[in-house]
Amino acid sequence: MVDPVTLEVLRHRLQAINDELIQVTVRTTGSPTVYEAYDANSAVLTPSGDALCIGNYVLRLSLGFDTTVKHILGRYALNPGIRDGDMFYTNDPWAGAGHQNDTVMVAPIFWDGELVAWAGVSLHEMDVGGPLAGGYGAQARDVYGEAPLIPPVKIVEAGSVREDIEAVVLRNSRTPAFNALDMRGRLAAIVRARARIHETIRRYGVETFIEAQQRILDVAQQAMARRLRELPDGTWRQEGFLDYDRLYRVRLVATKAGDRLVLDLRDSSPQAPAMVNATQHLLEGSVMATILVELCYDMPWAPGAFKRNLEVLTTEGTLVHARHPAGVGQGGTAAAYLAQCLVSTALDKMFAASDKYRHESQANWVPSTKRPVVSGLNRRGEVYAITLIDQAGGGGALSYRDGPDTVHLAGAPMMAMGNVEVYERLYPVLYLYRKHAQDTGGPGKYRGGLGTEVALTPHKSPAPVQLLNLAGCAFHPEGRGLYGGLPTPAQPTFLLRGTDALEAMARGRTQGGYDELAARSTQVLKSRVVVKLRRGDVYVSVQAGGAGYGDPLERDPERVLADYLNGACSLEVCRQVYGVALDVHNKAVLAGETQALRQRLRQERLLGQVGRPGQHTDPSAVGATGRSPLRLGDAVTLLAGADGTVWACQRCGQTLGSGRQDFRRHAAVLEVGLDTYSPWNRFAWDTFVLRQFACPHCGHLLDVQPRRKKGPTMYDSVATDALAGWLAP
Amino acid sequence: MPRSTYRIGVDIGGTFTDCVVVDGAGRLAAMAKSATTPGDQSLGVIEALSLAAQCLGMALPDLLAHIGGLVHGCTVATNALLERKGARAALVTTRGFEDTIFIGRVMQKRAGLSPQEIAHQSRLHKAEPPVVPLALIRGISERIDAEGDVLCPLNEDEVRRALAELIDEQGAEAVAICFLWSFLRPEHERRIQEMLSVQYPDVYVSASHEVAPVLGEYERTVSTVLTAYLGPRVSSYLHGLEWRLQDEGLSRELLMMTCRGGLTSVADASQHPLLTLDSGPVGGAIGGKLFSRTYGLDKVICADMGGTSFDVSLVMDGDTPLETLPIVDQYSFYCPKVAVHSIGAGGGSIVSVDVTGMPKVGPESAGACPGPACYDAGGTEPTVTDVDLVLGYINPDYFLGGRQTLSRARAEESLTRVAAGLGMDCRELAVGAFTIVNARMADMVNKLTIESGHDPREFALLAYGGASGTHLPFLAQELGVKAVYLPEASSVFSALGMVRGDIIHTVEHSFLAILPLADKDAAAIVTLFGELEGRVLAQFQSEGWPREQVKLTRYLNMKYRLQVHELAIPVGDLGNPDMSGLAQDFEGRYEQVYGTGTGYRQVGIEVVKLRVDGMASPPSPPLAEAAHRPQPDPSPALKGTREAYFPSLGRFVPVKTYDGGRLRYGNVLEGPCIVERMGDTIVLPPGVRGYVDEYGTVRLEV
Repeated sequence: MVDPVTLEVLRHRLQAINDELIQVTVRTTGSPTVYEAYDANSAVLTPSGDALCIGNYVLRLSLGFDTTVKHILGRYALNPGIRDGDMFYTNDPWAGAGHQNDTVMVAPIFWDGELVAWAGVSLHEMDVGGPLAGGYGAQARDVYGEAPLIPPVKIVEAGSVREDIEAVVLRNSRTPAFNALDMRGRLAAIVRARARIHETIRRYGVETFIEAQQRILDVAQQAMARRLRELPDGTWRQEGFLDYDRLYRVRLVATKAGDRLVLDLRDSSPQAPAMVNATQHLLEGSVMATILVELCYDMPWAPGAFKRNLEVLTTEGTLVHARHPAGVGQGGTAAAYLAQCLVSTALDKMFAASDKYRHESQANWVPSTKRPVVSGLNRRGEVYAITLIDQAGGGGALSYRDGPDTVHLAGAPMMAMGNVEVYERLYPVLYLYRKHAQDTGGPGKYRGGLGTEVALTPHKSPAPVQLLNLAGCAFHPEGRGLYGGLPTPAQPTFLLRGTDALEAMARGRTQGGYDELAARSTQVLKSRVVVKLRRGDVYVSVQAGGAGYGDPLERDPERVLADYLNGACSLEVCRQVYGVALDVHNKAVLAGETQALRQRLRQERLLGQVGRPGQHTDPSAVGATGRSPLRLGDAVTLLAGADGTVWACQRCGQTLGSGRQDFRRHAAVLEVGLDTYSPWNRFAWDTFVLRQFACPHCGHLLDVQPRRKKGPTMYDSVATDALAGWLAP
Repeated sequence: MPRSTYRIGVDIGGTFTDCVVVDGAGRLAAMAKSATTPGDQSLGVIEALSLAAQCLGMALPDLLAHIGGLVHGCTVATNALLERKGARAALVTTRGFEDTIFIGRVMQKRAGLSPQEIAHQSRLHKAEPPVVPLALIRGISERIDAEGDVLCPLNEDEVRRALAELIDEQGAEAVAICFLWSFLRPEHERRIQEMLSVQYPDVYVSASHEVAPVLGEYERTVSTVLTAYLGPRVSSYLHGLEWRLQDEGLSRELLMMTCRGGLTSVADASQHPLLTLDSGPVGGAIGGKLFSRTYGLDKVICADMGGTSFDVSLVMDGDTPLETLPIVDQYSFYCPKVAVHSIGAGGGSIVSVDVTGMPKVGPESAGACPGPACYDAGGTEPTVTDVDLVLGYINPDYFLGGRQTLSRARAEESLTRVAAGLGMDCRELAVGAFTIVNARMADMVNKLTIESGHDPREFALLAYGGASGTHLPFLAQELGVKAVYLPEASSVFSALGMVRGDIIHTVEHSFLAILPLADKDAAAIVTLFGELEGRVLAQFQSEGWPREQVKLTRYLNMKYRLQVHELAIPVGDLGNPDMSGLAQDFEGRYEQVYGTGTGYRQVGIEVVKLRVDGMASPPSPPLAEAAHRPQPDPSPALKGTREAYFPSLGRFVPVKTYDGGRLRYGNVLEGPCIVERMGDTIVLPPGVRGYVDEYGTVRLEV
């Protein structure tokens, strides 16, 4: 048996080998999507295709390699065969690619005729063909209107690129030279990885190498099982929406019992015609990305192992489990990312209910990507097509600190955003500004981080710039706050026609924000539409930040003042959402007025009170939280009641029903308009509301759910029975 | 020998300020250590210099009046940055892009973190606090485009208002200026420099087109802001030190060690304070380069295992590779720097149980206070030093040459406690931890060598720093390295590197041309190389180096079209005027790095940059005892025997211990045995043979 020390050495070695796969890829590519934004990832897998370790760039990009490898093993063993020196290529989302642009190269690694591992790299290719330059397939009727699918093919045979197969791939692309360079870069990366694996086997022996793979999976799985057992059992429900040709729904029921986690997404909308659907493996890979960064942050990232304790339930033909030929051109950042946000909230509520892991509980990060996909002719008159990774959303707040500003998507820790100068050099565009956008962080006792606002216009472009508005959550809030923290606002995109931006510049005035641009017309763009920009037209995009944590009326007024002074929050939000009155001239908090204002705002929350408030207990009894085994944020705490346990408001001690039920059922419920917490929601649909759950006695905000009007409330149930004994005197 | 040929190196470390004096022949004439004085580092420098003068039987003014040069490496910039004690710096930038430094290309949240830290999503955040607050940033109306055309002229009214607010109202001591595309067209930045020099002559100014004239506004902004943040501190320290030294009689210019591995003047270091970051470890790397030349080694792994970190740099073909975009405290900036890589693995690294229930070593360190459990100074967590003690490698009565006594009982106690949680005993855990820490270091070395496409087994291992002698011989076995060098006076190795190291000046010039070169391009390249060489030589001349002592090397940076990462190809004297071999040289090198069949000639090959390196070398030390006949028998230095554990034997065995101070040239050592020196302990595992060479270096054949 491999001793623990050798195992540790081998685990690190595999990690180092895996990291090198990306390093070589980044150094040899010609695509700014890869060298500037790191939209790529790698993995090393067992001979049977279980992922042993993955890189920490865009996680989901290599979380489908198991599917690719199993596809190859299952179908190609005899014809065309799987031999030393072979490499396989695919962009087929039903065979392991995220979407068609995320092309995958994987290779079997042999030792002395025996298959001992697989290694691979996936990266976002600028263009892989199809009607729409840059990919994604917006407005397609089905997958045939998107970029062509290349199922796994043997692109490298005995160490050499198969030029006939490569020609099939390149012939379809608008950017063939880049794709060919990326092919060879990955060839170099995999050759390097194979040499390192061979060195390792020479040093430790092939039996040890193979056995260590199983042991790595075992220890990783045991660590995850331990973590799950430490967390409370229960069921958490979430629902989110996706805006495309119509509104689609993803529903999650997350159930944790012992060391098993079941994520049930079966009650989601039927699949869309194209673009936004996720294939089953993409959905599973994306969910795994969330589990890695939130649940397994201190474990060896061996996804093959974690799958053993996880069950993801979906129904074929839905948004999260697309049936061919539904289109899937943007699955990774559409349906799958929405599911990631829902799973994240479920995990974060699970953490919040654990004393040990309370600090891991974080509100949602930005709920959807925003990127312009531009194409046309560059300043030299050559065809280009590129996804500009030029914006960033914010991170969610935690129970003890504000969310970080501009961190971009969750589950992609090493990804980066491009420098303006890099994009302006390569493409005929000019950025008018790029800055932190005010009021984009979800308010809360701790505020969500900010997103960006960016403005882009064609510049010295020999042809109109075609722009696909790769966006989502344009008209409704989606990033969920926790325990009174507010959601992220909607993230609108504007198309300003016929501005005088360039002329104004020539006269000595630049634009510092959306409100400074004078335009002939302004249009709020739907998500995922294609427009053409001509001289003077400006694309303005606002990216949401992260969601908030805890009641905003509990935020330290000095922090609110600082938020105002550094531009994070408008005066209006400081006053109406945080209940803080500021003396702007003297840069000071008006303490008396703030107190009165906060009192009034709390009272207003009780206007829609439903049901009868429960018994009012002494707040001092609640103050003794050391005795309670369960506190949910700063919202409620579990106390001993007459028969079993009861929930109580942490602020005033008001009881909120039996511990066996969701506390929301006994809260004062009020629905308010979305524009009450962020000016960006002026552009949101009025069919969505904020459903507030407040303490019926003191108005302390316990939870907020962005809902469609009349949509069901999402209830949780934490298993509290086991805690009753703990509370007995 | 005239005393005026003494050269002095002073290296400020976290604990000690080291001073070495070498004579005209490069021999170590004196060495001294004094406590580093964090408040005013110049006090410690003067103290160390005085002690060194004392060793030579001289008064400090006497020494300073008669030296050939004084080279200095300091931690002023590094400390000011890490502790956020820099100047009150303001930033003036293109309006609409004021948040660039905070957005940090999103990757600021993970820049410089370890993979395990990066994996922990809920802990990711930006640099805290930022080196410049939003309140000290002003956006100015102006805009230049990617072709260098002015789209919006500089709005000077806005500039005047901004400067008045920043300096008069907010009290900024330094102003950084960074506009988009200024490296193509610097006139807007220059105009503000002019306005500042007229109106605010005392304010420190950094402009991005001077600090980092390269593409990429985030990294350029960071470089410019850090320069403004650190400049006033570095400048006042260096000028203060220079004044003090002149007061003490210094007759020569004070030269600063740079992170690029060269030397520069106080004036230049004050203008470009980023050059002084990490100059201590870089001194070690430069010492390593010199060492490799002395021994005629091509490829050397220079490894410094100290108390908390393991710092590694490489010598490749006699040179130290540079890192073009270093990261400090989550900020990445343009300031090419000798690549010194660190992981948290040293004598103070803590042994614990990780989340998977496996033993783990580091990266946390017990530091110097309370230190390892065996210090018996309140530390209860076992460390690598405790492990080394339990395994019998270090002598509890001869730690730091006997200045400190270690408690074996405390070490065993702490290890036993952690071992219990793993179902192990004290010794099993000690063996495991010893192997794990060595494996972590081995993986890091593997990564450094491997990433550049080189096999660690082709390297020699140069080991210095307090814990190296104990661990690196084992590491060498793990890496497959055949030769290990443990130099004498390894505790002041970095200061020695500064004073003995090569003096290097580099100039570069962007030059775009596609292969095969057109005649005019080939001619232009030849002309440009001539100009660049002239500039390098002028620099050396101003420092008093004769032409014949300066060695020049020409490089062409090339890449496949579309790529951004380049390879530097040495091009010799370009004797062949059509330079027809360039494509072959490039592709040969490319395939050497990335593998056969990985090139893609169809996209074309292009030249993007010319570079000339000039190098002058101070005299090397002669062979210390070359005149003596080698004496193979080490028994005169025999100290005694003790039990030590060797993983390859699986048990404790009695081994001979030698007094390093009494070993002589030619002594042959057979492992297993142990050599106790003033600053370190060398452990020779079974089967390893060592001998003492002409320089006093203990060399191991693994």
